[in-house]
Amino acid sequence: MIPGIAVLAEKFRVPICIALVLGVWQIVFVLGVVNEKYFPSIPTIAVAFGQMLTDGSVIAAWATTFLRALIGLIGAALLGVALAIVSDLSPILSRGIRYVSDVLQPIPPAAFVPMAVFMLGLGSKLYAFVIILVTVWPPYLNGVAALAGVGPVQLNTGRMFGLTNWGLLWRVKLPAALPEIFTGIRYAATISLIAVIVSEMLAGRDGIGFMIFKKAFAMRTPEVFGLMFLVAINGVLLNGLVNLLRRGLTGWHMRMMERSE
Amino acid sequence: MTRQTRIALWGLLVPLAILALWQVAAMLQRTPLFPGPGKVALAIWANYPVILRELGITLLRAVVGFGLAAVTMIPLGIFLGRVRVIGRVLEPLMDMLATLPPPAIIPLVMLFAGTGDGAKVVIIAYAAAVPLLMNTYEASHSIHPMLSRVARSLHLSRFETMRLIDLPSSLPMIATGARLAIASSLLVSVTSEMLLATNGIGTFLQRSQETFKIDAGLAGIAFISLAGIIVNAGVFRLEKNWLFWHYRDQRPAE
Amino acid sequence: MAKIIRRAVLGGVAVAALVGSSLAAWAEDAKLTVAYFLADSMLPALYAQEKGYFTEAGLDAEFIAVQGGPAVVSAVAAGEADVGYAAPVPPINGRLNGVPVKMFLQLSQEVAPDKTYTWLVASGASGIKDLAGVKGKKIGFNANGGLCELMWRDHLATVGLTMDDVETVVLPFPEQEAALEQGNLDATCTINPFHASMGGNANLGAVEIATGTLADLSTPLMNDALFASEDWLAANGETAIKLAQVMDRARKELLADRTALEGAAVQFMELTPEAAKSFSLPIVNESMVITAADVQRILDAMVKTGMHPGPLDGAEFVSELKY
Repeated sequence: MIPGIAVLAEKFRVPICIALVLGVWQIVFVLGVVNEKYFPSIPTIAVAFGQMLTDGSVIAAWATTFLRALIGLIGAALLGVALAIVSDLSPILSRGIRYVSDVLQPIPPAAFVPMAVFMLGLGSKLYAFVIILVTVWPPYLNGVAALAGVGPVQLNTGRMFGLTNWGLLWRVKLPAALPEIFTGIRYAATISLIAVIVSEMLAGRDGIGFMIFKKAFAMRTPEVFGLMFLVAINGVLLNGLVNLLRRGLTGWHMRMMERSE
Repeated sequence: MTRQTRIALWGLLVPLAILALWQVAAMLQRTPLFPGPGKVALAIWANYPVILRELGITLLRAVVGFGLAAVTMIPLGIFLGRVRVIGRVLEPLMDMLATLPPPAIIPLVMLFAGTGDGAKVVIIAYAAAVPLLMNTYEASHSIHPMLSRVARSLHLSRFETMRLIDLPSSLPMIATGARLAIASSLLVSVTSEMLLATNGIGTFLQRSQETFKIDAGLAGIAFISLAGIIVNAGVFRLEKNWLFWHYRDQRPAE
Repeated sequence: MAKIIRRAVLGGVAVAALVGSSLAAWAEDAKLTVAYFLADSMLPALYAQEKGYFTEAGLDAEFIAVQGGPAVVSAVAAGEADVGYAAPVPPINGRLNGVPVKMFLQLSQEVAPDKTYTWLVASGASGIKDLAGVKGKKIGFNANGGLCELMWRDHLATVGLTMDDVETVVLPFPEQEAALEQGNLDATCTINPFHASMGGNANLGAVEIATGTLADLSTPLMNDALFASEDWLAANGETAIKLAQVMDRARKELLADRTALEGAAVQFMELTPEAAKSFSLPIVNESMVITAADVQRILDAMVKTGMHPGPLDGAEFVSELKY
């Protein structure tokens, strides 16, 4: 491939991806596989979305949802990494936490929400609980695997420099584990958005999830899909943030990987 | 007693402490809508035949959905990780598709796949695809540069490189992805049954909750957990057996 | 000495704060949180809130929209809301399972022949022409243990069928029309605006096979209820009466003023202005008073159709409120 095109394509990758999705959608619409009533065209969706934008309701809802997901993600990531570190230090706690994660991980948020409402009400505590409960595992699992996977050469080198166990953890293991932990956080970012929207759809009073639910009940299909596209773009935004943070924290790793090209 | 069993036994204290806290909280609340572990145990005893039957349906769907995702997403992930331009350009697309929550895409999937098994399998495959694709992509795109140089000096073709170098060296991370994907297959299998309710454990959960039989619902959740633990243990076994070389290399110091 | 002064100052501040806060509390309106499932007959409440009628009556009201009747009961049971609004079956089921709630007002009713607000609709392609034709087919309803399940059970019983003779799919109202049109459902239980939309869909060829929650609607049947926990009702009788009076005022205004009604439907239910033109409030009884006999009819139907083994006494589920 001509390098110029490749560079250009990479530079405009977000618009390219959006165009791709919209294009495929429009083709399905033109083919007329399903009734237009349930599967509106892109221009119809765009007009509906534009109207929601002008009355401002969608922006407030979006901000609420995005903020919830972001706060939940930060909490879950910190907790997950903390749990991974604790697990690395104490084999007994490691085993104990693993028991709990094994039990909780397979439970869907949709099953948690109706239960949690009784204990935590419909407010921010509910969101915090649900999001952290489903989001904490990827950073934790990746963290445990990565901390355990730090190579003996690196560890022995650290020991040779006279690092204590703490020093070893802080200056050798954690930096070496960060790239894999970030893969976990990146995955957690998507789950946290999903968990927020699911909670909003099931027990919400505001936010994008609730708006989708409400528009569906008013039979405003174009608006529903407009909001769905917004959710999809949220994913890109949140991942962009995580990637920025990763570049800041694990830039050395990325540079090392890029040098090979 | 070996060190391993001692650790395993002491570790049990953590979940036991949580159970005790739950029991105390339930006793303080004293409403049937917040049953403690004791009540749930009784509900398990009363409902287990139904739960097991429904769980079977759920697991079967999860397996089919995961299988579908695995055979398509692992090769795709390696391909995207290798042919970097395409991978990088399509990264936002993966992010976009990954963030759509199953409840939001269910109405859309229903338009094309109906309300039956087909629709649920599609949704499960979709959810399982995310961690598989991401981890495979991430793994094969961050392969140590030295390995690429080795491949080059051996004059391997692109396809040979993918099969002989990328796949094995990505396996540990793919395994992590698979573990997450298996968890989310089970999870979404349950969710899809709650939202397109025909049968399965998700439908059982929904019915329990909508008729305020919270203890029965929690009994169902307990079985989902149990299924998750058994599946995870199985996956862990397989991982240990297949990736023994990875674990061996990791732990020579001890 | 300094110590004493400090204590005196601190004490004074504490007393002032106490007096201040209790004064503020005294001047404050009574708090009232209502959890509701958005439906036609809730419009007057939302309209009254918008117009400030609750504040005028000395109520500091807050409305929380929740998805589905069982969620409303959960919110009330958890103390998250004082009052809940839902179809009657969820609070009945809640009470049967140990949630101590009682219904104290009813907002809407159905009566034959023309004031019915629930429908059983079959798709043209299913070949179903009447209730008996449903046997062995795929039928939909929006939630377990709700009014729609009761409706299916009661109407099927009139032709000698039970839920075991059909395949059931629980699907939210908005997704049912597409499911019908594409053959994923053969028949479903629906409400407005979805019913109207199905009627206007030529591809669907909708066939109406029954209407009204119960087969026998010779007298008005309650269609929903406001409910609260026994404790709340015992302690807040006055607040409940004020709530009823404000609702009454808003209902009368909306029934008398078509423009205001359509405006409210567009604003709160997000109907399109065209859809709002055919909108009407499902009100048969002018009074919102609920009696044990009203609930007994629903309980009897639940027992008759096997939703509950029975026997059930309507008086236990009602706390009659005169306003």
